[in-house]
Amino acid sequence: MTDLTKEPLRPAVVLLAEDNDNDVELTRLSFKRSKIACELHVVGDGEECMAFLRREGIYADAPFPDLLLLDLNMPRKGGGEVMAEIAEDPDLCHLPVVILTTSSSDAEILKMYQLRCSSYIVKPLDFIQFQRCVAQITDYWFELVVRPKK
Amino acid sequence: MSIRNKLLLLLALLVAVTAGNFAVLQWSNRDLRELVEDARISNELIVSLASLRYLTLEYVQRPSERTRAQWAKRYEAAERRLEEAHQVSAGADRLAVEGMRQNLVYLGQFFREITDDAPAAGAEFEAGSPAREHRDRLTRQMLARVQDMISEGQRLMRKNHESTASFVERRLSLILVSELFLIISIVLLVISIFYSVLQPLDRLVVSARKVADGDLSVKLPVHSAAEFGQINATFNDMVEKLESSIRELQTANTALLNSNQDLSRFAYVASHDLQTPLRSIAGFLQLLEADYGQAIGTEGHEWLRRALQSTSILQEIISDLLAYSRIDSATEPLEPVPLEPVVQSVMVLLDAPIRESGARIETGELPTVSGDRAQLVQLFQNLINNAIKFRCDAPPVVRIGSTLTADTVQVSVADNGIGIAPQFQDKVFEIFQRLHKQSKYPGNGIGLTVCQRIMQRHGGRIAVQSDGKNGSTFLLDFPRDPAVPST
Repeated sequence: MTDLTKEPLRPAVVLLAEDNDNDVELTRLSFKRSKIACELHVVGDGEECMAFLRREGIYADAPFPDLLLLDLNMPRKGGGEVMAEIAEDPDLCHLPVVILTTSSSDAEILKMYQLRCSSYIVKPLDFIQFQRCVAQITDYWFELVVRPKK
Repeated sequence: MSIRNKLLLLLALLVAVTAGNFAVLQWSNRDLRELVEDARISNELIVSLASLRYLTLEYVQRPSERTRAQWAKRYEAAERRLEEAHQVSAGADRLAVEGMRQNLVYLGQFFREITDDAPAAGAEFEAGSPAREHRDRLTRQMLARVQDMISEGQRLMRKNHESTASFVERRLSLILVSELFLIISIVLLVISIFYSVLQPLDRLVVSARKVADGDLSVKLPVHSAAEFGQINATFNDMVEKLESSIRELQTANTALLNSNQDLSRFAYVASHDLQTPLRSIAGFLQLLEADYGQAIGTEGHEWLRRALQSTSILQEIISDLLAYSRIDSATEPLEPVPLEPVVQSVMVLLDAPIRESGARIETGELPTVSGDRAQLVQLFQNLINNAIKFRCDAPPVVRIGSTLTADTVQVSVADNGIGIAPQFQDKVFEIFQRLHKQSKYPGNGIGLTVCQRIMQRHGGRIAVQSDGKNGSTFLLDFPRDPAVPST
């Protein structure tokens, strides 16, 4: 059984930075079907993502997420810039970031790991596989791994 | 003035002055001979006259036939000399000579009178006799005239000496002046040629060095001295042409870079912007099937299956197009790649279809070629995959071998499949060209286009041989790279 003294009672908070509504919907459905309950928040671009993490503007009351799922191709501020800003910010650099994208360019993968992203996942094309992928992410991050508390 | 003209002028001056000097010398030689001849005549005349004087005195003191004969001989000699002097003299000298001739005639007459009246041999006129006085007067007159004539001859001789001296002086100074003129003009011309050759030559050398070092802004003066104007104009032309072709090359290169960037951009668009909506379509279709499959019935299920199948075909097309567009943008340099391990890797990748079809892959000795390993794997994967896909009823047999020709290494991939009719053999390499229904032989018509593109990038060619029934043989011609030892 889960150790209640270790785990907070609230469900895990996941922030999804993704500009495509369909992808957002498919990801939401996948999370809904995974066995671990998560509170999924969504931002549509890199600027909103940074505002959410720093609790600025309309995100003043937003919870600090336990995990960030970051798409690379977003309008205004891309995932790469977000990753770089998080890496440089001492208040944010402890946040686990999983890059979740369609881009499989070797240069991009190398750059993200150099910025110390936690994982880089290329979105599977098939929805069944994508669902399995989301389940593995939640299993790994919310059951297996001990996350930082801050 | 052109350098050629300057050189010609120099030559002409040399010839002219040399010829002039030669002419002056020739001319002076003739005049000098005349002067020497005049001097000889005057000299001999004086000698003859002196002899006449002596012989006259001799004869007056001791008249003898012998002395008279000698006198006559000398007289003739003096006459001849005067005749010669008369021929060569002119003006006042001629008059003087004529006067001397007249005097000589008198001398002859006087002497004849003396000889006619001469006493018999051994005798002498009585002192104070009229005959003796007449003879003595005649004798005095003769001696006075002879003395006059000698003085005149000496005068002529002196005059001859003076004119010889001044003549030689004049001629020598003429030669000297012309030599001086020659030397000055040669020096001036040589200096001018030096300047009109060496200076522009130096400039040309410096400019050529600049151009060789890549500075194409060099311009030489076109109105430069003589022939260098033309050379400089040609040089400027050359540099301009070089510059414009470099500029054209740069433009073409930029265009090429841009089109490469366009291609990369296309690859990016294909990978992201086309795949994202496609994934959504497939995702929602799968959700629909999972959650509402029961509700839509068997027919609805079938429609969903077809829709899903189409999305996966579209997905394959996109990823194949992506692979195709990446062939040329690959930046890996070509390196020696042995083909045998390449085929081994492909056999591992195609393990499933090989097993399913019961295919046999027979590999002969394969060479090492200069290439991009990943692309060569792609090439053989497509060819072997096709050989298995387009099979007859019998289990597929694929034979891979190689032959060396003069300048190529030819690799053949032969199968025992359905073959390709001759009229379609060119078509199969065109993009999206398919000879069969998707349902019979799945595929999107990009595979062989990718093979062709890969062979092009390797500087080679691909061709197919088939009678349309008994299998196909694909021939890959790789350039023979001397750096790569072929086995």
